[in-house]
Amino acid sequence: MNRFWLAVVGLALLALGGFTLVRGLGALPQEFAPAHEPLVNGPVREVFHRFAPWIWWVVAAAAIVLALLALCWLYAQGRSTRLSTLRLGHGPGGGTEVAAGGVAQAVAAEVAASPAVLGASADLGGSPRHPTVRLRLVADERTPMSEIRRQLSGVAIPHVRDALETDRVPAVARVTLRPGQVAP
Amino acid sequence: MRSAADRAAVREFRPRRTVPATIVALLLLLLGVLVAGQVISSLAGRPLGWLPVGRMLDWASATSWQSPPVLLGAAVIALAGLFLLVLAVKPGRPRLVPVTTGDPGLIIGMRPKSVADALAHAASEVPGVRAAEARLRARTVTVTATTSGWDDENTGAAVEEAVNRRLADIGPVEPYQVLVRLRELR
Repeated sequence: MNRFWLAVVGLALLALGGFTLVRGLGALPQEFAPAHEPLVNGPVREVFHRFAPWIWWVVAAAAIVLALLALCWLYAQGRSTRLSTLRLGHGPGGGTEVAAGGVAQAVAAEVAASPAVLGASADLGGSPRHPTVRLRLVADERTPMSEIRRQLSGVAIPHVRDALETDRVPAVARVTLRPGQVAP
Repeated sequence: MRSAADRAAVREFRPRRTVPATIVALLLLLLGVLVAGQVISSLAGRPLGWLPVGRMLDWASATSWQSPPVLLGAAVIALAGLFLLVLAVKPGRPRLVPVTTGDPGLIIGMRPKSVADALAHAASEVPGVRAAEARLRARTVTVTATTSGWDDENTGAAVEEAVNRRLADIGPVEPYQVLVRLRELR
């Protein structure tokens, strides 16, 4: 989404700058777009006079739309924040609300139970109906990766799915390896 | 062909372009608010004076398309647009090394430093190697092993094998090429 809108704004700026350059350098047919005329010349004034005052309402409306779009875009940047409550059950009579912190702590504790894992923390992101689990874990450098995979996808994640009563809870784990203690 | 899980992992750790997006969105918001405020207040008969409209109009009426400030400004705007386009089109390198999981619901990423350390550790366990360092670059791992200088040929091959074995265990989504350098301890 960010990349799409950056591309749109980039294209608009490129078109504006490019057009001005091309016209200023006299590369356009001079009878339509003369380079020596001022930016605001007779025809431009005439357009604004002829369609006044409502052309200004159009300008104002466009500016408001631009500001609103920018506000939406800005709002979307902060959306990856942490969830505090979850909604379980999808019946017509509503569901149960569960504190996300407890679920996250349980996941982290479960992951940390493996001897290969030196420490783990977790929180929940996404939306209350479609939560995602975000894990950070520190493991011993000598741990086989298969061990970490097994601990995550075989033990911890299925338990979260059970706890949240859904079949699919996407999980993202960020793994750091640290040199372990040298065996005595 | 990569699996859907692998592609999701690569996508997850790509830079999100949050910083340029925030800056551009703030500038657009500012522009929209300034223009809307000025125009609407003028239409209502009480200009707020947020923008020096009179001076801007005088300047634009006296400056031609071919004047140097206009050309310079246009070039700057076009370059800024090009820069944003590059940011948008280039996917950017993932900040974590995505690792295959075989589970579409589970995405694992490892810090590049951790991958390098794990590979260096694997290399240092090879007999004949005193110490080892590894560095991760675009798609290559360079392992520098300090050896005692005895039977370097076999040690080099053993280091390469050990590093490749550990790499296969970690299982990065994007393949890495292993380069081994030996340094003799004197």
